[in-house]
Amino acid sequence: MPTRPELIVLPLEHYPEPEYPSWEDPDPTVHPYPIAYPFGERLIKALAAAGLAASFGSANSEEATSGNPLSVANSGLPFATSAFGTGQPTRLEEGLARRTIHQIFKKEGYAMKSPYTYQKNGISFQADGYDPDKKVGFILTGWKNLDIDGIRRWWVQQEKTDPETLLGAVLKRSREPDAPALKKAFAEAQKIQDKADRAEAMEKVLEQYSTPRVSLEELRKLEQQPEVDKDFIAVISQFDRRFVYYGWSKEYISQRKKAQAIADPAKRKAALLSIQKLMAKEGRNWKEPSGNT
Amino acid sequence: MQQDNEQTLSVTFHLTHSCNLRCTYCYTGEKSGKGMTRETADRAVDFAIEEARAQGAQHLEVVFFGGEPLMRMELLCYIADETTRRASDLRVSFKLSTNGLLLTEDKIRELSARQIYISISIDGAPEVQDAQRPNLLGEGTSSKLSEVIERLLEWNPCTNVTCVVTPWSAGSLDESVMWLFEQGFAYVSPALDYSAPWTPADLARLELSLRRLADWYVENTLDGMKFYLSCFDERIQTWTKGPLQTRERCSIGIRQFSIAPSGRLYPCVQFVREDADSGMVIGDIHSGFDEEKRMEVNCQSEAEKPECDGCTLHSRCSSWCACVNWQSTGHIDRASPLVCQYEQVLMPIADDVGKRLWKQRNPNFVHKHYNPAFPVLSFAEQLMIEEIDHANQT
Repeated sequence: MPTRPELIVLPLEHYPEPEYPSWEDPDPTVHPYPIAYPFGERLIKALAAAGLAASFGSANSEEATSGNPLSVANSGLPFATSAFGTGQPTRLEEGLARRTIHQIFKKEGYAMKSPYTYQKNGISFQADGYDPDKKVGFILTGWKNLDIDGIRRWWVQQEKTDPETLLGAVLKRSREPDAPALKKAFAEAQKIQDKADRAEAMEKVLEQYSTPRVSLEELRKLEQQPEVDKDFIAVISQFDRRFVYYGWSKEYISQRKKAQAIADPAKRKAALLSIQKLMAKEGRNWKEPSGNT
Repeated sequence: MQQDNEQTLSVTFHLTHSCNLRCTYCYTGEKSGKGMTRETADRAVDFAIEEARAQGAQHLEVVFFGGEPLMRMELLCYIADETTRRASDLRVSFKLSTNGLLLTEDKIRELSARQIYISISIDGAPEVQDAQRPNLLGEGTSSKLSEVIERLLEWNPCTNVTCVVTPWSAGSLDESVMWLFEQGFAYVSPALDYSAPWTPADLARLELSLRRLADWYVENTLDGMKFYLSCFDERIQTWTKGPLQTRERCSIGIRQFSIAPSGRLYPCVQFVREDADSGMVIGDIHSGFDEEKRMEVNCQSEAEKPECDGCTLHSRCSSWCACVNWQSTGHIDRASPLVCQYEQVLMPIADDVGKRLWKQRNPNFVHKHYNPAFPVLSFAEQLMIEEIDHANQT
């Protein structure tokens, strides 16, 4: 039997740069123009077969948007992309984001119990906050804490009573055409030479054209609706752009690099958190709530 | 993706060394019939929970492994129930790695009730499965699997399937993967048999197969099919999400370890060999970790590899994987030549897939690789389809 030739470790001196965006490039889901989340044909067919074709049709009208705005569809999940960078932008530490959400609800008079096991009509899931008197709560979704199964059951249950605003809205958004005005605004912002100024301008464009947010005023109106048996759960994505904080200034990058180099995990985490707090305090990309959750 | 704000400890329970298959490439040693006792399991559950608390982890991931863990179904359920009960202060999740042959409707129901995520091992089309994964009598097992696959996917359409690629099956990897997708799987993870004596000729056949698979990947993504194929998607992610940071790697012996049926502790599943001394025992559940050995193994696994100096693919390559290096070279701190050559074959093919799909601004590709919410969204979408399909049928 002949000897089998052996493989060896051979470092590669040259390798061409891949011809698709890297993690350091502007986010391709929104740049240079937004690309809608591709809900599959199977889902649309399944919904049509389930008798929701009518709601799909009505979802294309303006009236369809006036309903329960605290739906999963309105959580911004399909479009919850980072402003810049791809995939892993810097976001507020989850605990800080959570505390901020609580503070906003508290300021508006909600007594959130946290965590709260929501149990109703055979549905059970863990809400991150819930006011049993006002029947308003929220879930902060991420990779690890998302009880997808519980939310799915809740989603399906809500869909039975409110299909237009839930599934209909998802479909409507999935088919949103590219907005020419947004493209134009982006192109204008792109012409700015200074990187930080360009980033800021693009952020403003995104803000201007972003999907509608839920206001606390709307929340109050919902409370006063006669359908008192309905609950409202805000599904807030951890990947929402509102949690992306100042990540492109040289000063910040330098501070963050220093913090990341700290060997001790606890000290490293504390240093990173203190930078986040500083940024939040300075108000860089951290806006005081002005009626929006 | 590991978040800074949630630390995970992953503990693998090897319930038994017995197995109802005799895979040609099995690395888990003699099928001795030795299994974990109830007493050992009891102590192991406490040990895992105590270690998670000591590390300040918020998430304890329990993985069931073997041999074939479903041969100890009762013990498996006991461990799951006890871990859930005793670790009320932690988030606990479960995974099961199985060959699937014992997956009856009742067992799936019991596993599902405990939210145990099933990952099944099937090597592909019947001729490959039968040759590489025979039963104790040397007979093929593919015919028994067709019913299992249907049943399993009905319960969880997002089930992951792992298929092992050997030098023998390298040339037909594309056919195996396509066959698995045809069965309805949407998450396929091919894994090389790193302990086999691969040659450049074997790799050349693998390269041709990967090129055919790349064409299939592009065509089907353009057709709107949503799927995960680890060999390409993982390499593309090293570019779209950046290289893995040290703390995001598996950190063997620290953030993950294995408990053998005897109660001995090992850094990773691949090192658990009780019939022969692998030299990788890092303690046992009764006396605790041998901290010196544990740190030695961990430090060796994370050490820089001088043989990789100057390599432009270093930051994207998986040469950091200690257990693969050990399987391939017998040393955890030496880069595997097979990994090196495989990555050099695979990376340009994966990058070409990325280039072709990006050129068309394909929404599936863009959201899969640049929208961090994609896994949650696609998972939810898949489950919604099943839910609505089911509602329509009833």
